[in-house]
Amino acid sequence: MQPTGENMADASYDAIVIGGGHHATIISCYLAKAGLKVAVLEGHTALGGGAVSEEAPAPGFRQNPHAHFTRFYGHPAYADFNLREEGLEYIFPEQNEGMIFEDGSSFIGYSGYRVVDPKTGRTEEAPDNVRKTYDQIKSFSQRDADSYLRLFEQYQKYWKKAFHKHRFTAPTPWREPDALEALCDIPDSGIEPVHQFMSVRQCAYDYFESPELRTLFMRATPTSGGCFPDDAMGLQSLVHVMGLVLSFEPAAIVKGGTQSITDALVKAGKKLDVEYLTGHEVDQIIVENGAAIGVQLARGGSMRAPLVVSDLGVPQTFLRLLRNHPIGDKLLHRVRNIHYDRGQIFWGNVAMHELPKYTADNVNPGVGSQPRLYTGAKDPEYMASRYQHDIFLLGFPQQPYILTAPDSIWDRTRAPDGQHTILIEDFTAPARLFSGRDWGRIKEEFTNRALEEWRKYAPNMTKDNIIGTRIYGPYDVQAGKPDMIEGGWTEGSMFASQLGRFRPFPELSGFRTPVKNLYMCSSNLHSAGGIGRGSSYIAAKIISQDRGLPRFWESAGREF
Amino acid sequence: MRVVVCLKQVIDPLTPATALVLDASAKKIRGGAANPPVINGFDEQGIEAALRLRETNEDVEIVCVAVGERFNNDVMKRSLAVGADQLILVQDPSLDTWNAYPIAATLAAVIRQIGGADLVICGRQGSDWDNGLTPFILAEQLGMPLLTLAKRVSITGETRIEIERALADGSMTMDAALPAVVTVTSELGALRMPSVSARLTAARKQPRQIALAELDVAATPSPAPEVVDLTIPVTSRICTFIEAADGPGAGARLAEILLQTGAVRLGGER
Ligand SMILES: Cc1cc2nc3c(=O)[nH]c(=O)nc-3n(C[C@H](O)[C@H](O)[C@H](O)COP(=O)(O)OP(=O)(O)OC[C@H]3O[C@@H](n4cnc5c(N)ncnc54)[C@H](O)[C@@H]3O)c2cc1C
Repeated sequence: MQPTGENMADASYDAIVIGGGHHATIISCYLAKAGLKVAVLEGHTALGGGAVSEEAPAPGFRQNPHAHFTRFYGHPAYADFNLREEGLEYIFPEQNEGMIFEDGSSFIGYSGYRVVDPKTGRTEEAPDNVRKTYDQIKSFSQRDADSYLRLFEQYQKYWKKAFHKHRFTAPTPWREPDALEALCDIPDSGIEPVHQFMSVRQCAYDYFESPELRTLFMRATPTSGGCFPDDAMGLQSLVHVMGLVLSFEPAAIVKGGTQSITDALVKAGKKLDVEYLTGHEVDQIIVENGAAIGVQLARGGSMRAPLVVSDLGVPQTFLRLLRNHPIGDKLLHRVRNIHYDRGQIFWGNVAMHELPKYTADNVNPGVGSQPRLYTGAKDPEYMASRYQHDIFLLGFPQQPYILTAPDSIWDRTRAPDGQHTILIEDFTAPARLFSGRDWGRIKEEFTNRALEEWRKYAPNMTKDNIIGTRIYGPYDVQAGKPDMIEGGWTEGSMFASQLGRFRPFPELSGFRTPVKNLYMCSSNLHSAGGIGRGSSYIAAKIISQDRGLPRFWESAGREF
Repeated sequence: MRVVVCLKQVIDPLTPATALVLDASAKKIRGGAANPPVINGFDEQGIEAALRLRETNEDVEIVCVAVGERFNNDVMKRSLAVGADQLILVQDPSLDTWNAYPIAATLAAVIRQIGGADLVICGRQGSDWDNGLTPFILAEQLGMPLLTLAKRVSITGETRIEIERALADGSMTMDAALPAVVTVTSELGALRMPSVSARLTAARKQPRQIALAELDVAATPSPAPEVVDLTIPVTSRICTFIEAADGPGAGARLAEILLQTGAVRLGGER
């Protein structure tokens, strides 16, 4: 009897991608397009990692257990692999973020850019929407309304382009400004050197005067950028969060749920002969003479290839897969100290008969049907000083700030006819702070409190209206995703000292590794956690350069 | 009236097996820093029993006592958050033991030191080793009657205790004069959730620490039982790819291999 895999060593591959997660499904397409025979090895039975959907919380409903908010139409792969043709379709509502406050007042952000071509996601400015958002803000602060207009101009002129370039370009060396840092040198860019080091709270207070926008900014930052109020958010998150909080960017709803992204990428990959092998957990990277030559599978057997790419986090890659290949004390020390205590959420869907009817809608018509709607107290002081404190102590904030996303309004594949499903989110603590038993209790408590809180804003959200709920917490995430240490969505805290050229730490931020022929492509590297971010695209560019493969970005006419 | 509830800190039974480490030389199982321990679930039900008693008898003082090697204060303070008046911890390396005798003797010494108890409640057993010996030795040491496996506990006429005892198909009511020791079982129901404000107040309270040396602990009689070895079943997997031209061929080959390897036997040899 032959042990597994040995026979497979004959099946020859030019490249092995370890892990079949979101970035694996991207990089495998690029490598295959360059002419390599690629195998993707996924430990679980399903591909996509954090980019999947499931039938939940009740039969006939569709929920995204991990990534929910995505804008993959903005990723170069969308055009490079004709993903629209492969079934990846976005719907673009004309509003983005909204917030209803405890006193009944509210804010609606109308998208400053409107998608004019749903096929490519091409946008144009929408002056009518800008005017509407301006009026919304003016109702509580003239100063902030003026700031909004100025920021929109700066966003158009400088931020948007720099942000995109930064996302899909390898970090520059220290002393060489990257695309966002370069904005600090432009006097009217709206970004000054000090903004690189400001905490979330400082940014909120620096850019805005109203309690409304300060609260929204501080609450939206952990959702989009993974930082709590006292963290230095860095320019990457500042620009990202500002674009969402002020609804410069249009909202985007992916038809069929996040799974559609993975399905389209895998379809494209199969056309390029990528082989996807599920149930193939990798246990070790085989290294000979300092170069990776293949992998050892956990169930026995090995596979060989002259190029190995890890879609796993740096800790799993080095502490487990390379456990027999010492990388030096300093590096190991840094690997062990990567910070993961951010981005932990209670997260899941509530299936219901009818949509919530918000009382605030009487005052501000239309509020309630924003793709991202926050509710909570107009209390920047609480956000600034006690939100995180409560979360680490109790597992949830005493004053809840629930985010809801009613995607089924736009995407009718998510719920049976006449019914709806809404995602809810609030932040919680790192997994290790509570026992498994306590997580069970805290999750139940969170769910009850969230539904109770919801009723305050939308009285029809009674028990009778609810068909089912399925909420996940960090303990659940960690159990299924070994690289999402502490169960956060960020795969490594995303504050300034762990972003860009410092992600996850300076020595390993370059996508290459000390082991020849071994590269990394996961969200543990720049440009961090989130669907459609740049790590795998950048890794593909670096590999292409190192190996003399076609420079696909140049043939697509892209600057990056 | 003083009710003492005995608590044990144990590895969270929900800890994934992959996170548990067997320290064969120390003969211990460790959960690792990423998996905080819990209060033994049966002991939590003991706290719940005490809280219910206080609902009907206002003057009930609830004192929780835990003895062990080292405690996670945040975990143990859940007892304060749900309403215990006091939490007493005795921490000493010698109390990291499998032997129930010194544990029970230390619990008894604490109870004597604080001036005794009208009722002592213990969980039926620890979820880590399932020995269930401590309450028996404790009752002996305190010279109190022991009533086991209570699913309901009530105090009758200030001086007597009545319990409903869980049986496989029915229940039994028992009664004894106080002071007494009672063990509770899961039918009693789960420990209530503490309110947020109670949790915040508890976070500021500190447990009372008593050093082992300050206590008058009865000597452990020898010979004591000893753990000789701890092992976990060794599992291994071998994977074989079956080569065959088609489905039926593969099926036949699979059957052949199962028979050859002895994984499946035919005929009367069971
Ligand atoms: C609860 C939650 C909510 C989120 N919400 C959003 C959101 O709304 N929007 C957004 O943009 N992003 C969101 N994210 C983040 C997003 O899911 C991740 O950034 C993204 O999935 C990261 O991709 P990756 O390829 O780096 O890792 P993953 O997608 O996790 O892929 C890693 C893959 O490797 C596999 N693997 C691990 N170890 C091995 C091994 N030894 N051998 C073989 N395979 C292995 C895993 O099973 C997994 O499939 C969320 C994440 C979570 C957890």
